[in-house]
Amino acid sequence: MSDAAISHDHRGLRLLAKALIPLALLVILLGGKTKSLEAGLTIAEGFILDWKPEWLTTANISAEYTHRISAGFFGVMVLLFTLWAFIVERRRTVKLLAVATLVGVLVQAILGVIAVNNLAPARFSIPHAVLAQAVFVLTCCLACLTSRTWTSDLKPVQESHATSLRRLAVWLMIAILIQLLLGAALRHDDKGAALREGRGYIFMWHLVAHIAGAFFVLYRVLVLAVRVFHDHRQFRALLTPTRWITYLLALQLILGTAAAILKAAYSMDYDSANAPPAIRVFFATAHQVVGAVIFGLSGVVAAYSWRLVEPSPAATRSVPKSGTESGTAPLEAST
Amino acid sequence: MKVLISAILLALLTGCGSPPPAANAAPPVSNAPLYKKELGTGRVAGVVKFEGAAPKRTPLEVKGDPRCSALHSGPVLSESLIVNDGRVQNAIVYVKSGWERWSYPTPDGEVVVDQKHCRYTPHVVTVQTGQTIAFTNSDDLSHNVHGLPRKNPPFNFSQDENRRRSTYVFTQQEVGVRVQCDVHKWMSAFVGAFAHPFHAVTNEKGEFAIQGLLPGEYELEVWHECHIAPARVTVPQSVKVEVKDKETAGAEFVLRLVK
Repeated sequence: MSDAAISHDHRGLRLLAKALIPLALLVILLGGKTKSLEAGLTIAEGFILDWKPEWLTTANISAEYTHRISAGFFGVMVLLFTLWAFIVERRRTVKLLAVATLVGVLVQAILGVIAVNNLAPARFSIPHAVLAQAVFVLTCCLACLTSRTWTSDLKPVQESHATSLRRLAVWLMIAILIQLLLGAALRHDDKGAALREGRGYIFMWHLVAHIAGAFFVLYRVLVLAVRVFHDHRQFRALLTPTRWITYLLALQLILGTAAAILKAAYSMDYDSANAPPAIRVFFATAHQVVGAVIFGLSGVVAAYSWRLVEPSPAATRSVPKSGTESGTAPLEAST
Repeated sequence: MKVLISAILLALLTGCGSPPPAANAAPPVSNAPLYKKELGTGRVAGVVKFEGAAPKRTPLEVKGDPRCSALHSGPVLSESLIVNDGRVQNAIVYVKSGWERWSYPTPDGEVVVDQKHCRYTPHVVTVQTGQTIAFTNSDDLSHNVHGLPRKNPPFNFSQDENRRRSTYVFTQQEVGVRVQCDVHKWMSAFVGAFAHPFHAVTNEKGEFAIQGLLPGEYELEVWHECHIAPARVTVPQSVKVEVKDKETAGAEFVLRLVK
């Protein structure tokens, strides 16, 4: 993937790819806020064409409505990017990734409509939540592929480790994806409704699995971070996102603990027929958004590991090679 | 591909698998004789009491929608547990057993729950299965009526100045179905659906009366929303009453705080 097929004339495409990242994050933020406020069903119809000005100022409807508006705007921007990429971009990978993002957005919209029409059961809400994160990672990868670092004539370095950086990065992505799935299951367990209706609360395993998953992600982050800090410090495109993953993971553990405590505390507060308190909304939403950012950054590391680091022949055979602990053999070490 | 697209469109249009609101039919009662109201001259009347000091009604946070807040000059109190002079309002008292000997025609009239000043009025209602329950909106603002039944299909209706009425029909017996507005979280109501007409909601004096009973032995039970987990009150066990023609049998229930 060392082709420099994109010309510098397509700065606009690069900027649009970067702009998709905060847009996707905004959609996730508003979706998370909607869920935290338990406001996903304030508009009973999954698909609407009419709207009212007061929807933007009425607390619970505004969360759901702005989520829909931002998702629609993001979808249009992804469509624009895809069309533009097909016109100016010569690399097949970028076009495929753009189409995958667009398909992800469309499926996500359909899932959202179906979820609302079916009163948000977990079987639709959980995939809706997880697919959003996957689309976010795709936008991060699009930004990587259209970045100057990627399109420069920088030569990749060859690793000498048996386990490649690519593999470590993909492992981290898989670990985070599973963790996001568990988090979504925990978030959409509808404990509040279970309590209201007198049903038993049987979702404790979600919490236990999510906590165990956090430690597994922590382990995978440490493994990746040690490799990057030790062997690939020269690549800012790898070093910076890895640093941020470690910082944000520490923050994420704090946010997750607070969100779990607050959820447990307020779920038992049945007498309060009020909206969830702001502090609970804040921590639950922040936990979800930071999780998305970590996932996105892991996608960035994975993408750049393809561009900047060549696995050793030993890695491709998955056989450890003796005397290869020195790390990389840089072909060119500067970004 | 056409099949896939058709399936997706159908799912979007129909709500993908969620059963439609129930048909207008009473649950089947096997070969039982048809109940006629004029034959039932017996009656059960009584009161639901509260033992000990009742907790004070807490003020609800009527915020998030300034137009709702403007409708109330003072605090809006929770309706989850209303005790007046040791008597409990909004408890559902119903015949649990003894009714199965007859089959029951669906009543003609409908039960109406209105949304007024961002509250459900009344807060607790009972209906017969097959009977229409109408949710109306007297407020000039947006609400959604979100029902959370377990045995019946869940429902959710958007309402505003232009859509002021939505109806639903319960097909299965179910006590204490929560109905809530997700726009205004403090708004909640509860519905009890029964396959027979022998049910009542206690008034502000905690009184109830069930009429039209044919002679025989009946088992009565009480339901209160604060008994939903996590329960704040305990409800007594069911009581048996002997009903005779043109007579009123008495029944009393006592609720207590969970210790």
